[in-house]
Amino acid sequence: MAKARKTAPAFDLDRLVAQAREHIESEAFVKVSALGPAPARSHVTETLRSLGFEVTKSTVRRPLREQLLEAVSQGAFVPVKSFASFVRGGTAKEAKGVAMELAQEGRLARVIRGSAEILVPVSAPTYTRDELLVRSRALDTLVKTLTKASKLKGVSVLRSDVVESIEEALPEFTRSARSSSATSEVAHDGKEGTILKVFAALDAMRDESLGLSFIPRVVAHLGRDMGVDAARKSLLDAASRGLVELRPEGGLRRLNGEELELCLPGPQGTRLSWARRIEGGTS
Amino acid sequence: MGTKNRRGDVVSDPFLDAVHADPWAEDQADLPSLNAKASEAIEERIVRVRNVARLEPRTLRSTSLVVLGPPGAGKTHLFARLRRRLGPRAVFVHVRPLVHAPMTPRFVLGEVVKQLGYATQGLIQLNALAGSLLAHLSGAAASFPHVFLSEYQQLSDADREARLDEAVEQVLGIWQDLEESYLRRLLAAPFAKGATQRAMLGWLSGRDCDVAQLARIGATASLSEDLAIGALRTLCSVASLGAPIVLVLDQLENLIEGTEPGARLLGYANLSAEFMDSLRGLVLVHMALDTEWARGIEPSLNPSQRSRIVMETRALALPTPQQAEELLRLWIDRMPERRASYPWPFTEARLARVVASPGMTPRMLLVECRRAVDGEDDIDDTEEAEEPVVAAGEVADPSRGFIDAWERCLGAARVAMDEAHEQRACIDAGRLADGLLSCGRFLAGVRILPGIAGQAAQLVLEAADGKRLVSILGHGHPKSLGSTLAKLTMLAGRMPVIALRERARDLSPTWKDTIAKRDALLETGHAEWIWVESDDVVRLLSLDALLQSARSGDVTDERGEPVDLARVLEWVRGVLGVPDWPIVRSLLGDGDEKPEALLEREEKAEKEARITAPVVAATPAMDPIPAAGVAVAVLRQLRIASLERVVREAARVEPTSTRNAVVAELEASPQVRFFGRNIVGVRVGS
Repeated sequence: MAKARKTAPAFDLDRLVAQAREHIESEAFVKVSALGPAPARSHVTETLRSLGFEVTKSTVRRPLREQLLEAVSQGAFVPVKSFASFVRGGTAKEAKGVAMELAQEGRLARVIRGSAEILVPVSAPTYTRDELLVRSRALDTLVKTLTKASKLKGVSVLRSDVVESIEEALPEFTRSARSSSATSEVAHDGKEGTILKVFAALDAMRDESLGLSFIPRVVAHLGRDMGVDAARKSLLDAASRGLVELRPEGGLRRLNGEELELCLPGPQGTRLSWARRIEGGTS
Repeated sequence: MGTKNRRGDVVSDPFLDAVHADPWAEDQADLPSLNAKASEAIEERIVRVRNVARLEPRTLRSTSLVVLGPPGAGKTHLFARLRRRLGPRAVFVHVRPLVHAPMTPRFVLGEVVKQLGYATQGLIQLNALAGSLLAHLSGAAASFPHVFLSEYQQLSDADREARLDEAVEQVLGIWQDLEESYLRRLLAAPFAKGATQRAMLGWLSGRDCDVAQLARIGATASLSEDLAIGALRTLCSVASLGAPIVLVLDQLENLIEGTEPGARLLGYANLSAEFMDSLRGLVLVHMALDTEWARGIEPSLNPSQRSRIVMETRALALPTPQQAEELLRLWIDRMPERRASYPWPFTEARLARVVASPGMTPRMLLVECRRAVDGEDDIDDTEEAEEPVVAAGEVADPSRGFIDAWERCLGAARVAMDEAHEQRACIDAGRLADGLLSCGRFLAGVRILPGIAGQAAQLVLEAADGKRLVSILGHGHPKSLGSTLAKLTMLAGRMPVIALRERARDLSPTWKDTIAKRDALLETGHAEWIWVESDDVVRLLSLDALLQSARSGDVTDERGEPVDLARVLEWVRGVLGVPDWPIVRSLLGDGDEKPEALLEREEKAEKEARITAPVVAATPAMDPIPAAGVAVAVLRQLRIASLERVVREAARVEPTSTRNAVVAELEASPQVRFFGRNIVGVRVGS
């Protein structure tokens, strides 16, 4: 008797594609092996590819470029060394390649913070190469002068000369200080600008490994611009608007008197000593 | 059972206790959205470890993560949440650092195996580990280890052994460097019964097993220190195939001596780095206070240690106003009796202020809730911070907060002691040494210092009459105990020695050689033998735990606010009467009675008896309990305790006593002080 011909099992391909899409939406990627029965996989992967997803040998994922841009646009500062942890479904090498492409295309900016190289949104205030060279030269001259003076016994430099050199090297720094020194209080109509300054101060003072900014340093930094009281108020204001998280001090008498003074009063007799920007909290 | 507050509302004890997270609590309110990212980060690492172990086992490595936050931000809660959420899919181990000496691989091995015996979602972690491993090796899904283990249990002994042999071969085929004998016993342990299982777990934990235990499991010797890393490697590797081990090192700020890094911190960093290099499949989580980590711990790590330990850092987030409200609601919903509908116990205005206050940790929220339930008035936090209610230097009257903390520590210590006794083992000598070091803070003119690591004496006692070595003898095997006694005999020639051993683990009459060595030690005339009573063990463990918690900001005062170490020390000094503890008095030579060993030897000489049961306590006698005033006498022994416990203890001594009689007696006594309605203590100086 002739053998009955085996009929291929029918698959609900639409359902498989829908399941895969749902998984990718939530997890950013799905393994090819999880796309359903083997005979159906090629169809599902092709459909997903046509929908704009990236297909590799083993996974289907949201495009790495999209994932990386999204991470950076949400305010994350992405260290070059840990690209891989900000994307899913790709290797560290792939993530790095994509990040470099985006940087070359001008969609992300590469900056140096401390000893680490970091990717930031192009909207972040950075210097051009020429601006960097000008500042580097100006500061270099100042450093040489200070070093020379410090090596000679009984010789010093004029404070006004140092200030002048810094003004030449960093005109934006002194400009902002001058413009804001006139109003030490945070004016209501200037709130947005103040919040941006708070953000900038938090970023500038952020401890890279902790991801937190030490409030006494933030207040001191902001205080040069707007006065200490206004700086403290602006931090509290940013916190009350849900833009900044203020954290109570948990150390064992680690703060000195000056630092304690600059910290903000917290609940139940605590002092707020650390701060960070809340993800997605933009002014 | 509940506690009545000022208004007469019943506040459940679990609610009050929740201010301090218990890593092993089964029933704990949890808001999943809070710190979801930190949970996911750890969860992702567990999944990654398991996947790599299954797909590319030869490339498997360990992974490390640092979790930071202020006191009360939910570090310990995070452990409890992950344990409940992942349950049998991972094995969770929670370790507080040792204070007296650097942590060793053997200490960690002991903690890991001890906690394998703890249950999550009703399943013992050891069974979860073995069940999911065996399921994976058999090609079955590892999601239901219990079911798979039950199948093995139904097999005949011979069949099961054959299947386990096969599993061992499979694992050794993947990783040839594992310890075969360790692996065999690990896989056999879930199927062993009673004493055999206890012996196996004792051996697996690296503890010093006694002769009977070794014979029971067919071992010739206990695991030595140098095999501990191999044993941990075996454990972590095989666990990674089914339920990876998540080792959480909590309260790391306790490693900082003063404000500077020291040997303990260095020991921790070296051990962590060694784990990362030598173990595979371990998920190592370091938890500490953010400031202490940033200023005290991380700067002291060298680049090599830092690259291994700080693979990723996560600072726990504080609740947003919305999360704060959800958290409060979660708690209020769990209260058994509510006088009004939500937002009771808050008013709308008070609730809005509380949830919007910047810097509110979950613990602070719970404290606010407790205050509201207790009918305390709303206090504007800003004003409070600028003008503290308790002025600097002024010490608030210690009350419920401190006593709660002490009671919790006592409870945990009793559980630890019961577990050790169930295993026929002494409490870890390191923990007792930490307890004695803690006692040293409260003794005038006496210093207790850590000894040299690895030496027979863990501590050095410095008093006006000179130095003495203190050795805590927690050995289970007569030979290893004898060997330490011989070393102490040598040391006694140079410096007086005090040997401590738990009375519950008395020397067996059959340990003739060991007893002879003990006699030889005592005959030097420079040695003293002190039996440590169970109550002393509990006190020492509790004191150590209390001070570590205080350093981590986990102890709160009577208002539920975190208090610093100095205030806790002051409270301990004023209330607990550490210098009067029997073990402390014995150590300082203030005991009224002769050391028991001497008494035993005298009896031995007189009667030519082989061994007699101990009849006299070595430590100074506790207050005798007279027939009348039994409750006060009991309380004088306990010094501070819950009323229920005093009632219970009094009933043991005097079965006819009633609760009312006990309460009346305590209320009438000028020596007794009530802290609220449930806690009683002896007045200082009485």
